[in-house]
Amino acid sequence: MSIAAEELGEVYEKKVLDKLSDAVIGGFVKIAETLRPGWYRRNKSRVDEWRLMAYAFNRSPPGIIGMLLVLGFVLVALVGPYVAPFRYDTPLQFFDQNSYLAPPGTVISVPNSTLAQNFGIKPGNYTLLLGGDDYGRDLWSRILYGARTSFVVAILVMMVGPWIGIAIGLIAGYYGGKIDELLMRITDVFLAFPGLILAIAFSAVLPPRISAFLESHATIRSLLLTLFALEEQHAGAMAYLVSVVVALWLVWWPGYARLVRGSVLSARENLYVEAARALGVPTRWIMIRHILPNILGPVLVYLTLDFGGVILTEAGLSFLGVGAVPPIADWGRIVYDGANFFPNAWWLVFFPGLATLLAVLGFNLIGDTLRDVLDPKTRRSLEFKLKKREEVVEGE
Amino acid sequence: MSSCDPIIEVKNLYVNFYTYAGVVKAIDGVSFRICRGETYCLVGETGCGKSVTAKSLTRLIRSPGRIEKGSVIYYRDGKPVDLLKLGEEELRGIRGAEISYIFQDPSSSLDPLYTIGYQVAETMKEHGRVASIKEGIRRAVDILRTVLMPDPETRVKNYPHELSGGMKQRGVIGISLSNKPRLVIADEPTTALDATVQDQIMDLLKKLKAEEDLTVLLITHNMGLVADMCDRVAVMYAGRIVEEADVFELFANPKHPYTQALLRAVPNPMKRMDKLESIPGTVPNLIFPPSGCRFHPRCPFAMDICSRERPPDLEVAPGHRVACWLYTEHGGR
Amino acid sequence: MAELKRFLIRRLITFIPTLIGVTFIVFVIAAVIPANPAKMWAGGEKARPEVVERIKKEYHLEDDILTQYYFVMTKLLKNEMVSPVTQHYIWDDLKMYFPVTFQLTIIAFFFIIAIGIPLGIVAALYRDSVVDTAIRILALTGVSTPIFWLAYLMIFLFFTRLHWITLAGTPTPPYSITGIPLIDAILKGDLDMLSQILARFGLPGFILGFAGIGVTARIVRNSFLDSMSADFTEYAMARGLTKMRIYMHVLKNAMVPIVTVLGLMFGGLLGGAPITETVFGIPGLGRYMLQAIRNFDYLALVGSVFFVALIYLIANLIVDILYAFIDPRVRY
Repeated sequence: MSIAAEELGEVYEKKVLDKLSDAVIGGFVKIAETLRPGWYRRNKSRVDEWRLMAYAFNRSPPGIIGMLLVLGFVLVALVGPYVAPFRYDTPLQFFDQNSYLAPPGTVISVPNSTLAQNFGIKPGNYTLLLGGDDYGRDLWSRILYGARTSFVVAILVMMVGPWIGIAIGLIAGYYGGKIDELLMRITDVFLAFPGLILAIAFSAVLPPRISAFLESHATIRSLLLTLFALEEQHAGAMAYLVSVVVALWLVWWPGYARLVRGSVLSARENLYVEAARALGVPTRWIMIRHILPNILGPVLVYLTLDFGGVILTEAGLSFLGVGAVPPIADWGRIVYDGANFFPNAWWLVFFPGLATLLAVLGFNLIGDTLRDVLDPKTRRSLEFKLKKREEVVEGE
Repeated sequence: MSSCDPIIEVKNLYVNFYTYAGVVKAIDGVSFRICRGETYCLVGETGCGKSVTAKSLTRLIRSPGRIEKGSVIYYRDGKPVDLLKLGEEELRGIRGAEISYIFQDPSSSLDPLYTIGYQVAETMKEHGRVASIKEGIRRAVDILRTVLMPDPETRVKNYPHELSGGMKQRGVIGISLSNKPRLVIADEPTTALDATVQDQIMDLLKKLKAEEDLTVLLITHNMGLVADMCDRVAVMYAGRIVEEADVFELFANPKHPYTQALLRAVPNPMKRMDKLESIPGTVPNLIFPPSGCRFHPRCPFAMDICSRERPPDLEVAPGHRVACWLYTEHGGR
Repeated sequence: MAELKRFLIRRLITFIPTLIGVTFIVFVIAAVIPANPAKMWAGGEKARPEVVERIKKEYHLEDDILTQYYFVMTKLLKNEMVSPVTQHYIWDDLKMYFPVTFQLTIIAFFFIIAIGIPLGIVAALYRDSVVDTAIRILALTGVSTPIFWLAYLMIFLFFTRLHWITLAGTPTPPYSITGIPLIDAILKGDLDMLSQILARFGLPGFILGFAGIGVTARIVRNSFLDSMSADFTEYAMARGLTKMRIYMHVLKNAMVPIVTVLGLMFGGLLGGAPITETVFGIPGLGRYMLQAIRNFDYLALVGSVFFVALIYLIANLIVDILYAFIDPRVRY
């Protein structure tokens, strides 16, 4: 029971993950150092802080589970369409009647025919891992494609929606006065009605316009087709998906505007911001250089959580029949169509829903852990646990 | 001061804080004794462990802090009890009733959602002094009057945010005195207050100490207050007591280099000073505290042994102890 | 009391711009973006031109947008607006559908409070323990679960397998006090009616509240912990208060943020109703709105949104009033 300083002092026993995160951070530092010599010296304390945060993250089992789920989801979204046994729209019913609402594990046989060649299917026996739907389409393949759909929708939404809110929040918070009043009134109006209803309304009215837009912009159309891993002939159906994206842009900003405005208001009170203003630093520069970095933490947490939120909302919209339309593989839509055969063909509801749950849970676990890691108060308790354990070992 | 009837005796106290950056060894073997009826002072810079020591006395240390070892012997009607080993319920009966606290910031000590009268009343009710909150609130008026709260009949119904800082601290003092305690621990009771109010509060404490026959443990970093209030003083540095003496002895004849430096840094009521000096170096990081004597990196008289071994407690004069190698055969002073 | 009255009036006045804003946005989305609603109302491609012309006249579709909006809102509020699609008075329809959704929301809210708050307190008391982690995972699972999926799983369990619940009809008592069957049944002490309502609405209510349970548990845990680590709690310990009394102080201080979140959640629940109502076939406002959107019946949609926004604003107002009751520092 000695309380010698040396024994309790160093507490970080590095694990494999710590070395991994060290390597990632090290790599980043190297790049920054090459681009701007002297960067590391100037930002050493910040890099050390990152390192500690990474260690804290690595010690949170929920965070690690979330990371694994998200990595799995992203991996499936990227390679899913290439490794899927069938295309998302292949009606296997043409080849084997058994594929109609086939339970998981059904074996079907595809005979040698021109039709099969047209669909690019080699003749032979196939096992429908998760079963088939009412067109005899392979559910497993559709779920793999569905990951791509969810992922691309979420990316596209997150690239625009929150940033509208962040910009509005920055402007409102920094300038204050009449501008703030006006912008926040508008934000309040958007907050006062249910986002889902607004998104449904937008998604319902937008498709004709989006469709027309896509028809006249061939480059954007083919880019989106590639992103969504869709066939050329489904561009019309894709317009509905793009409408969802645009609808979510329009409803996904008020929360951020509120959050950022609040943070800016408190960041603005900081002496260094006042000092910068007194020195005559331009407003734009103060906002980007001194205020934005300080509010990045909470924003990052929300972005992560909302990535899951967008996936969930998109699935919900598709379930209500206003998002993806057949034959696009979309988790929410598969449930919507499969619900007609519930509970007999339970797999059409169960598996896509489970896939959605796992993907969204991943982002939520990461976001929640990030919140703990970024908040000095809770971070302390996170690491405190680790130390207590080590100390018990020492006490014996 | 030779005949000491001890009220509380701290022996070899160790407290650690398990924090984000590492284990802070906040209290590292502290021992002292407070005699009945005196005002005992703990002085030192911010972060030296004064407050932690005070809170440890009745085990108010909360996670991530932990009392590692030591004992706090409280002489309850002459019978010694170790507060660190006492059952939770029994200790609760002592807190606020026999040993009560006055914390630094009255604005955060008081629950903002309850009136000051209610908080006085519930403190009495929980210790069985009154039968009901209602009766407690009636008694609270008298208590607030003794702590010189202006217009106590209306103030008793006020919420903390409706009172000024000085009035809030009077309220807190009222709470701490409501159960006629034996020992009052006042942890920087005036630091958060305006300078003019500080004097009033200290005068009040002095008056109450005389009237209520209290023993006071005063924690402060203010040497002026020490001179004004204290009978005996312990100087803390980095989680240890480096010197303890009668207040006159300490100001007239400081032994430890840290005490000497500290007294040169503030106006000394016992000496004429031409200028004030600051102490070179910085307060040590208690996660990796200096080995041996914790003051040695900043000490102008540091010797070899100072960095190697912890100095012993030496009694250099009756009632005057100091933890410094200078006064051993190594120092030759 | 006079202060409260003045506060209420001031707040009610601020409702007006928000309600106008909300309905105007919906109006613009639904009325302006799609091409030629009159034709759709008259029956789509096969519509006879004279009918289309008549509809255009009747609903002022040729006027400028502000006039149109003014026309729609005044007619709606006076209950003179007939839906061109259903041929019903819209306000009458809303009065029929709204209580159903409101009842569902109340049940969901009940689950949130009855489960979320105790869970949060347990998590705070056993912070950083296995229990805390389990509640955290449960909370995160709650916000991650597609509610339509959960709904089907529960239907499978409670309807297909256990036959505990019903999935058809809307139990309506023969009497009406508040117009909301659940509350009426409770007021009358009609246990039979109450059990019918719960058999029909209990599970949907739970599903609707599911995500909120976890969110609430987290908020309760965090604000409970915040107030446990506050200085006044330490001072309450130093005063020698009993555990029960210390928790009383902690809980009351923790209530302030909890009340805010619960108030916001109530409005959010109303908005989440479409999915739940669709799965369970409940004829409520959510499904009514969905139907209106599908039929391009923007008049019905504007009316519904007006209702939902109004409830949201009222919920916020109630939160502010509760606030002032809990916290003496808050003034009207």
